Amino acid sequence: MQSELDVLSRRQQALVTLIFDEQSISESDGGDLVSKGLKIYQNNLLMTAVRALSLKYPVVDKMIGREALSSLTQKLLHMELPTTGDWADWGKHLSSLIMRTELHDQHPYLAEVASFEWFLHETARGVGTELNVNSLVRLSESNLKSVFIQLSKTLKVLSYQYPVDEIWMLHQLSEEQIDTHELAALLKEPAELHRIVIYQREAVPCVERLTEQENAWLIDVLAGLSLEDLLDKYVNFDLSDWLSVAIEEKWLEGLG
Amino acid sequence: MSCLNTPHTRGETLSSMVGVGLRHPHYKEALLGSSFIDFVEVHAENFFAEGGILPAILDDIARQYPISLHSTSMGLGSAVGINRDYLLRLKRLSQQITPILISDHACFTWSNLNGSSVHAGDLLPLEFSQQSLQVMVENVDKVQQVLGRKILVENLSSYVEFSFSDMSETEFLTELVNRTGCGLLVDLNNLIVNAHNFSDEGSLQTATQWLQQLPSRAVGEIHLAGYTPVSENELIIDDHSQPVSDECWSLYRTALKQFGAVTTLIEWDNNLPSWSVLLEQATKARSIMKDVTVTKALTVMKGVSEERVLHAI
Repeated sequence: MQSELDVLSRRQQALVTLIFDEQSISESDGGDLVSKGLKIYQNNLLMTAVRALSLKYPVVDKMIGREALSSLTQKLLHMELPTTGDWADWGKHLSSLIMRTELHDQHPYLAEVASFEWFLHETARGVGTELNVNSLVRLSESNLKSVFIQLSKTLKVLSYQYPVDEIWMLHQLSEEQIDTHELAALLKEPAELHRIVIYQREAVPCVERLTEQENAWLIDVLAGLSLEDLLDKYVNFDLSDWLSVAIEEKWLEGLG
Repeated sequence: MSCLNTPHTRGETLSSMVGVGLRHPHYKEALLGSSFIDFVEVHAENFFAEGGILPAILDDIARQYPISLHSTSMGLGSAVGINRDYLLRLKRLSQQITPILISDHACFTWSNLNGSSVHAGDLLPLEFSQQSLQVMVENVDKVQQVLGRKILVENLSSYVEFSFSDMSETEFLTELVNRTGCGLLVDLNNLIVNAHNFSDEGSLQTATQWLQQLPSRAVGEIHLAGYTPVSENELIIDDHSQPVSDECWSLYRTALKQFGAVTTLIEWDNNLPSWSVLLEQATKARSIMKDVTVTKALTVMKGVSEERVLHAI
């Protein structure tokens, strides 16, 4: 036998189900008060979700327009339910959703731009770390096998087919200011991989391009290789140069 | 002003404060100017990020204004309970800025969908039943224990009504106050919107009757707002996109006569006006509050002196 709490819970669930199912109200029964009310909740949900996505994905929004973003939002609401009570946490899977739609065939760069924007958003909200200066003394230890480079939790090493960082920067200009030839060049068939690092410095997200070697080095650092193993693997790598950049750019949390 | 940031000293000291909802496009102006407002209200979820620039912005705001922390996602009436992580984020924020008030709505938001937990992303209406009341009481108790302080619960504008309700909204809220010790945030615009959408009587009359059924001592804040007009037979949406409506100003006078001076907020969330227009609305609220409370005081004094005269005779 169901408890009264279960009954209440199911009734609340039924309302939520009706709101999330945009097919729940047909055109024919849209005239009565209950249908009108439900329609308002459905519209509210969609509008709030679209706004949440447009804040996180301003360049995707600019590239495809609000109508297409709204259609993606509707699909995303079924693929990724909001679960935390903070819309800023929702929308991580937009990139993978785009890859499953026709938009991906027409705009093959779009999923990568979305991925880049999500990481920017995450980095902007992450907690930056202060360098543990005292830990740098471990560089003088004789056994570097037990010394590990610790990177900021906000740092992400990413590779893209398209120059997403440049595409993103170009879209910071107003529509009239965007050089369409420059944009077309950025969006053309990719020829090489674009390696970047996204990190937080002075509380704002930053992006830097990486060489192939810097990229591989950072991936191995993140994988937990000891300093000795890193130096054995990257014989010609200039550690002191890299360390000064890593400290300056707030990539480095310390040595463990 | 510093004492106002201490949650346990609020009460009378807060009663005549007038503030505005502070939204992102106005941060700069609010922080640059010396605005003639007593406090600002921020939406809690907008500051849930633990890193980046937002915590520093909030600290700057808190240095300049007392803050009322208004959350929109707590879902106090959710039968499945309130998400623990959400509550912990709210608690961290509350500890960071020590707000003068903390509030959320008499609604539900947390539920299940297709076997997964979901946050509905909106303020969904409650049925006013004993079981629903029990859920609200337990959740409000829990929130007040976690936060270590009293919260205010706001009446909702809703777009559907439940046939399962066996008490009125005011009976529901009154009983909630009695059983949890929480306060009430009375949103006058929500009352007007509900009255327009569901009452056969005049909206001001319906809203006034609603106010009369509340325990005056429990009212800790009033929200004033406006809505986009709709054509006849359409439901009004509580979109907070317009200046405070004439009806709402009128109801505000009625409310002040009943409750006395109450902390008042101008709530404007969409189609935002300039910062100066928002401040003008706050100035109007302050002027009405002063007018009504002075008139009320004079009436009382007059009554006392006449009584004394009669007694002397």
